[in-house]
Amino acid sequence: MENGFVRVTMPAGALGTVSGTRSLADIAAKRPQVIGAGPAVTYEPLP
Amino acid sequence: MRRWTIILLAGVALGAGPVWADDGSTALTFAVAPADHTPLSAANGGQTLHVSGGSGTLAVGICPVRLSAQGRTGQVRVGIDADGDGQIGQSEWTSAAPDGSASVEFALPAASCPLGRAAVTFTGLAVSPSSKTLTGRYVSRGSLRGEIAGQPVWLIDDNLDGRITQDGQDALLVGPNRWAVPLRQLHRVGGRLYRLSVDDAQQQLRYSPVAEPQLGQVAVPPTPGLTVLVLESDQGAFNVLAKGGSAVPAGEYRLSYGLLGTATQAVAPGKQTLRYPIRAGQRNTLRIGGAPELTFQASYEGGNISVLPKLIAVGPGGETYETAIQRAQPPTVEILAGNQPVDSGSMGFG
Repeated sequence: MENGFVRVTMPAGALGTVSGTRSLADIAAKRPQVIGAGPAVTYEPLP
Repeated sequence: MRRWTIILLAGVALGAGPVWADDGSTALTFAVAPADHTPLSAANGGQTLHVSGGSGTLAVGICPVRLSAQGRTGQVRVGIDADGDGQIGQSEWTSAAPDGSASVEFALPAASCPLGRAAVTFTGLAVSPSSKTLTGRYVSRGSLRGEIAGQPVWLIDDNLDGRITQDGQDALLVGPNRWAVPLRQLHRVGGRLYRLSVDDAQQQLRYSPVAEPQLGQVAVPPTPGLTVLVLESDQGAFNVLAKGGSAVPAGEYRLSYGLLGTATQAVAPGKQTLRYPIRAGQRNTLRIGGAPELTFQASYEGGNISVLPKLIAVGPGGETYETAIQRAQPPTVEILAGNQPVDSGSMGFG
């Protein structure tokens, strides 16, 4: 299915509800699910 | 002489509290630490206990302790060689509560394990009637208690090896908190940053305030229910969500553990947990928390979609929220075309 996705949702205590979505293309290609992007720390000068 | 007397009286009249020396040392004595959470027990409830045939040993560093079990699940009795004489006498048996919890304290040979004593809390104790195998979990709560500037502190033998080390394997609890942090050299006690040092004999804790510490401000994205977030470097460990605790010495940190909501739900380092270089004089916003995502394994072949029931909530810093997942309720699986659901259903856990 083109433009297809799988979404799994479940309750997670204090977090509320968590969900994850993967495209069928990624699943078929066995590409790993990637969480988060960007630098580990974002720096700003203190006022 | 008269002048000093007047100053002292003025202090009393104004209700001034006791004045503690900036630095000094405190005598350490063995005590059971009133901790609810330590780095080694927060994520999984402690170490796994598995004793076959009704008796065995509890590993305590190089000082193993004899352990026996009787009864059956719901009526478990645990025997432990508490006095170190190599025998388990009648007075050394403890009846676990119906839920399988029990606490015991016992002696260690001080020549090999300097604490000289240990304390363990068991949970979920159960005995298999056929194999007499004892199973459950346990956490160490043996500690050395002292005081820093009037505040009680407990150095907890978190890894249960009979000694206190400052390499992150043991833990520090500062009252009245119930969460402990990995024991290192730099810690915050009563709002001040101290350098701590346990002497070789494990009888004294020296402490001195850090003069002009180079601090960075740590910011954590809003995360539902997150109440404790302990970060650790090779130098120190801090709960950055504690009141007044978000300023930490510059250095490279990693997640030790966190707690959510009722504190029975933990945040733990995952396989690819990030490292956080904290810079002094900066606001350091961490990539962690926020809205964790559910990770899952699936296959898509020949038009069939299969989702495996192995689900892990993972945050953007690679941290995991394993105990937050409510396994009593089945997850929902939806198939989407673009943003539109075209099929959905519930799945059980395998």
